[in-house]
Amino acid sequence: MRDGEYLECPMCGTDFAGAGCHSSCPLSRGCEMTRCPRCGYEFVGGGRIAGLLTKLFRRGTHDSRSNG
Amino acid sequence: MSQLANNAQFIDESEARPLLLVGNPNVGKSLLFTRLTNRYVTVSNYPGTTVEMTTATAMIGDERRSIIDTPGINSLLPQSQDEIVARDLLLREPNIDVMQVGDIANLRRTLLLTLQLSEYNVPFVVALNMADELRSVDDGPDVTALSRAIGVPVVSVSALRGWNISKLKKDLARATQATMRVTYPAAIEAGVTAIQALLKPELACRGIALAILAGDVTLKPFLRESCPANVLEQLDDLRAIAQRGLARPISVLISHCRVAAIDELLTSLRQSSAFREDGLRDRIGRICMHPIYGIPILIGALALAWLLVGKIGAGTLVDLMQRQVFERFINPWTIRGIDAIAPFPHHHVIADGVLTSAYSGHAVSVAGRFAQTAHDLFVGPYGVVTMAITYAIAIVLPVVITFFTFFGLLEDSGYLPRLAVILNRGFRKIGLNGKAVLPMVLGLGCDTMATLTTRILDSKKEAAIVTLLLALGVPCSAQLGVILAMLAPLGLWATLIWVGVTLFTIMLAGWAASRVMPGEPGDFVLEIPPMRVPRLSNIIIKVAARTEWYLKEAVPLFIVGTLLLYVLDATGALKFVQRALGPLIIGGLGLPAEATNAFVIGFLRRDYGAAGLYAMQRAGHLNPNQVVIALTVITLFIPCIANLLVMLKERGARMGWAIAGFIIVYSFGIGALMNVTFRFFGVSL
Repeated sequence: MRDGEYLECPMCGTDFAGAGCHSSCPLSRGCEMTRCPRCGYEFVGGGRIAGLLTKLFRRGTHDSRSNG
Repeated sequence: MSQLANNAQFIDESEARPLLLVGNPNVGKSLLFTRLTNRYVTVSNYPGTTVEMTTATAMIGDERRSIIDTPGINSLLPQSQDEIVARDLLLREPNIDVMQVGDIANLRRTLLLTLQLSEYNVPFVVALNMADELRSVDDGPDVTALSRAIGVPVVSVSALRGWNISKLKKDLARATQATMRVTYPAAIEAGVTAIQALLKPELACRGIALAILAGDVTLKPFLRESCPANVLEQLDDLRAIAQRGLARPISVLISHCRVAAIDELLTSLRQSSAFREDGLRDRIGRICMHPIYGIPILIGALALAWLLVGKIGAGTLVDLMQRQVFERFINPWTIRGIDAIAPFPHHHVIADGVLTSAYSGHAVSVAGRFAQTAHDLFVGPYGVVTMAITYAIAIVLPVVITFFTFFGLLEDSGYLPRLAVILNRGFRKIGLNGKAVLPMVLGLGCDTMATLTTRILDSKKEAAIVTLLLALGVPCSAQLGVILAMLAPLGLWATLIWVGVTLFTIMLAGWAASRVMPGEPGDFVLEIPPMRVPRLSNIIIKVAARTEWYLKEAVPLFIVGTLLLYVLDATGALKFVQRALGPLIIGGLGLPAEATNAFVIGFLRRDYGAAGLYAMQRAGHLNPNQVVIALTVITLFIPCIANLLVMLKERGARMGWAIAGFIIVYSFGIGALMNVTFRFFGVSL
């Protein structure tokens, strides 16, 4: 995920930024998985295509969401 | 001087008391912040962290005050860096007012945080946001009664529509410490009193004392700065004394008392007004978790999965991709291209008008052998294009895309955490410790990561059992998609048999776990976010992100697996492996010898093995009985090579291999038992 981008955990609803995949996982390098610091649920935080789609969907809308 | 005050990015010390915005995630805090402040906003990280804070100023009454927007939090007993930062701001900045922002339609969640703020003796007001989402004013709480109960000003606002913002600004000047109190069990209250007596007067609030008693390790750095070593030792002793008098962990008891107090407050509010805290979304959310009414909803969710994954994904989309795109265009074009570049005497088989990867003929010259090697590497029976890419893109991709869509709907609707609650209930019934349930639920996201979370378990035995349970019975989302796709065409009985055997395995392992790790089974704590209507754009973004991740992670392993089969085939070792495993695969499981290949590549990723079996099923090489047997074995198999590596790393080589060995023996043993049973009773699915 990109630095500073807030994600919402689909399991517990926590908003967080700066977290990545579990570094102990042998496949963690380059893995797009993000681990919720609160409940530990792991999900895909981003990616190139998702980034492009996000920009596309947000174009024309004032999405000023930062902290909740 | 406080850490906050040290950071000039946040606060101009020449200004009046700063105002901190605190609230649960997704309550419209940032929008309210924008409503209150001017357009000059500073965004910076909290010192020493990656937690982002937004600061601006606003005229509150006659004063210009700094307003700091913090990340959404659920508790002041922190479990994330965001929550640590929010709690630390309260601790380290004595001259600060707080504005708690809550969702008016989720008052229970809001008040749980209100209660914790009140225990920190911080002056605050409560802004109940999203008032515009209520159907009428009568649907909202009586804010006067609520304000009286809490002891601080409460204002209902709509940041979106700008309702009551001026009233909120007026009330911000009246921020005060709350009067609401919760009485905890006597041992905890005694501990609170004793701890307050030890702490400096400015720190002696119930919030800090309760956090110490709850064993909040994130508080340690602050305590080390604030208390001498002998006091720290006494605090540890007081905590141990309090815990000694209680049957359950202090943190759990504190949480239960707070929830009970808020429920009582909500009940009294309902009696004093027409307010109904439980909006439609809350009621739906509760029904989803209901032990009886939740079951039809669960069945409905599974039916949706069957429709999306089984019918649309595995049926329509796989047909389109495999039969129309790959068999008609991509594979024939690649085969013809490779034949043109690397010619040698051979004839490809044309079945049903489609050029296949199978061929007859062989090279005789040295150059021809090189050409044949290159040919087989890309378009042979175990070719990168005709097997790895075809399986990944034509078979697995449509299935996982539809499954990710279904999973995205579960996540975005808020049903997933409710499913976790239902699963927890099931696990509790077999006596599984609550702490062991969380890794099982997390396994739906990623088994490998969930295996890492078994570190939270208290003993090696517990960790080993849960690792085994995860690897045996909890497929990750991508693998579950492929498995569901294979089940879809088989019908109800086949599905029930697969579900039954998998559940039996989980229950058996869970029963074993409950013998090894007995204890209180109810310590599963998960914040349940509200239900909501999923947004199509969000689902599309999620599916794109997951699909990209899947292609990056799975396709290289698919190629490695195919190369492994290619090498085994080219060296003649594959026939040896098939002969060696023949008694097991053919005799034991009743499957064709060719199924051996699926289990070989299944070591790398369970879903790749399942894709191999799926290809055999679609080609008519497996009958329904064989599909159910093969599918059950692959479901109970080791999830992926990463999971195996983590098992070895986390549990040690000896235990890791023992678990892996047990899984292989158990999964094939169950398959063989199913084969014998089907034959004995003449079952034909």
